[in-house]
Parts: sequence; C-alpha cells; structure tokens
Amino acid sequence: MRLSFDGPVLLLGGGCTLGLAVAAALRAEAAAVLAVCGSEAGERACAEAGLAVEPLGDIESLPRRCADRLGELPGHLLDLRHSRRESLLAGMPPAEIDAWAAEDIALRARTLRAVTRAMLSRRFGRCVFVSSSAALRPSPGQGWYAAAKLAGEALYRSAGAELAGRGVTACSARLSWLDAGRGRDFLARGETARRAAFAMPSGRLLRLEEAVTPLVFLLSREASGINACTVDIDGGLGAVKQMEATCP
Amino acid sequence: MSLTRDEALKGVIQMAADIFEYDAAALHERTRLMADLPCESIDLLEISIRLGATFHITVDDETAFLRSLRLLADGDALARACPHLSEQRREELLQWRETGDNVSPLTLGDLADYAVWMTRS
Repeated sequence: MRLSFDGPVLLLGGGCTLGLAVAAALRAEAAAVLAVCGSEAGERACAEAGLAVEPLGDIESLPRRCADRLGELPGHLLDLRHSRRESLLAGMPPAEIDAWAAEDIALRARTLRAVTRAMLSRRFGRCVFVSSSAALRPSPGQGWYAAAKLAGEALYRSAGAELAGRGVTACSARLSWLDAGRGRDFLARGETARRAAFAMPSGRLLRLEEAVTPLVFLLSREASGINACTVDIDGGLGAVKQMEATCP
Repeated sequence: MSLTRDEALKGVIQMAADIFEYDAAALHERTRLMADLPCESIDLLEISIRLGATFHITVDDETAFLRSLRLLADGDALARACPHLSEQRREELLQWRETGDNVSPLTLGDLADYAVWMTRS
C-alpha cells in the first residue's frame, strides 16, 4: 500500500535513532520531512542524514518556518521529543520539577497548539505522539517520564476529538523498549536486556523497524480513522505482568 | 497603505461565507455570529486563526469576540476593554446587556472593526 502525505511532515526530536529511521522511511514514501531538534547533536545528526532541520527555537513560529523551508505549512506532525529526566518521585529537586513541566508538558502543548492551528487553516492535519508503555506501568524512577507521557496522550486525544470535524486528527502510540536511544541506555544496565526480553510475550525486544513501519502508517492520511486514541506498539508487553515479578 | 473598514468587512464576510458555507451576498456587517449563523467554539477558533492570517495581526480572542461583555462594570470599562468599537456600537452593547439576552451580540462588523484597529495599533 502506498501511503499519502499531504504537506510536509514535522519530525520533533528527529535527531534520535528512531527519528532518523522514521525520516528515512518517510522519504522512501516521497514525504517532505522537516526535522526539529532541541540539541546541536540532533541537528548535526539530521544534517548528516541529509534532512532539512530546524532548531526547536520559538515554537509558535514553527509552522511558518516549515512553510519558509519547504514551501508549505505542515500537514503531519510526529512528536518524538522528550527530555531524559529520570528520578524517583521524591528525589527530584523542586526547581527541576518546574523545568520538567515546562519542557515535557507545556512545550508539547504549545507545539500541538501552534501546529494544529496551522493545520486548521488547510483543513487537514495528522498528528502522532510517541508515548511509552511506561505511561501506564512506570518502573521506579520513571514516574516523571510516565506522567508527562500520559499528559501528552491526553493532549493528543483532545486535539483529535476537537478538531477531527475540521480534518485534523491525532493519536498516540505507546512503544515498548527498543534497542535504540534511551532504550539502549536502559538495556545496557546489567541484566536488564535479558529481563526485558523475558517480559515480552515474544521473548525478544521489538526491532527498530517494527516500530518505524507502524509509526509511518499512523502518520499517513490513510490512518486518519485512528483518532483520539492510544495505540500500543509494544509487542504485547502491556498485556502481561511486569518483568520484575516474573523473571527468574 | 492601511486596511480600510470596507476591505476588512469584505474579508470578514468572505471568511464567514467560507467557514459556514453561506452565500457571501447574504451576509452583512450586522450579521451576528452566534445568533444568525451556526457558530460554535470550533468556528470561533478558525475565525481567530483566519483573522490573524488574513490581516497579519495577533488576535486576542477575549477582545475580538467580546467575551467579557457581561463582566464589565460600565461604559468606561467597556471602552477600555473594546477600544476598537465605536461609541455608538458600545452604547448598543450596553443596551444589549440590559435585555438579559444570553446569546452573544458579536457581529461580523465587530470583527472588521477589530481587524482595522489592530492593523493601526
């Protein structure tokens, strides 16, 4: 099946391993991609991959910057961006809590607002938020991460419910561990990779392409019927008991 | 060259005609969004976005859509909150408040006045 992309794809957090893989798959579908990165390292990675790239910068100007760079307002948004904050709930310094809320919740809300307003003017838009299986079942130390992911899911659900009548739809996708990005860092800790694989119904972790292909589909016009909801791309991890309780 | 009232009204009427799928000839400056058109909150959002894009202004929904009308104490407060409206229009709105009507009196003409005022301020 050939997928349709009506207007450029904004790829927030496009400089991570998953973002670069999604960008490559999108380009194979002839989609125009603008990667948006919050770090110089991300910008460099995107530039090396031959992607058009913009710094995060002023979020409200992002749709206009997309039009300046690619000649059109964005038609699709994939939000992969997330900080790397991990801490026990009672362990986070107070000032860091404010930064967490600003970066992992408010910035996402502002991005979604700015981009969907631009999409409304063209009466089409497709937004996908990349969440995590940790949103529902956080391990110790993932509480802040999980709370922000749940907030993101709620924002995207409401956007899809409110704007679908104007052609703008949205959903979230919960991924499980991938051997990429923050997942790779996590899996590198001691016995973690073996225990994580044990928790998966298939007995193995998802491969990168097993996340990329469904994400690209969800982002396409053809997936517009998947709206105001959260989809699990977790290999069934969310359906079974946590690995801590079952792994020998 | 600055935006004229006629240009602004023409733009606002065309915008409303597009959004509500009405014949532009059937709309005029006294057309009320909430009373005469099937206008809902999502439509106001789209109007706000289109006003901004069409006239290159930053739209403050509170002011443009006369949202605080019932909360304003008197004519002076109304003049401060809605400086884009003429004295005559403000007087009409004060009279509207006395009627107890719950449907917003916001008109296409009010939006045109807002666009003109914003481009000049």
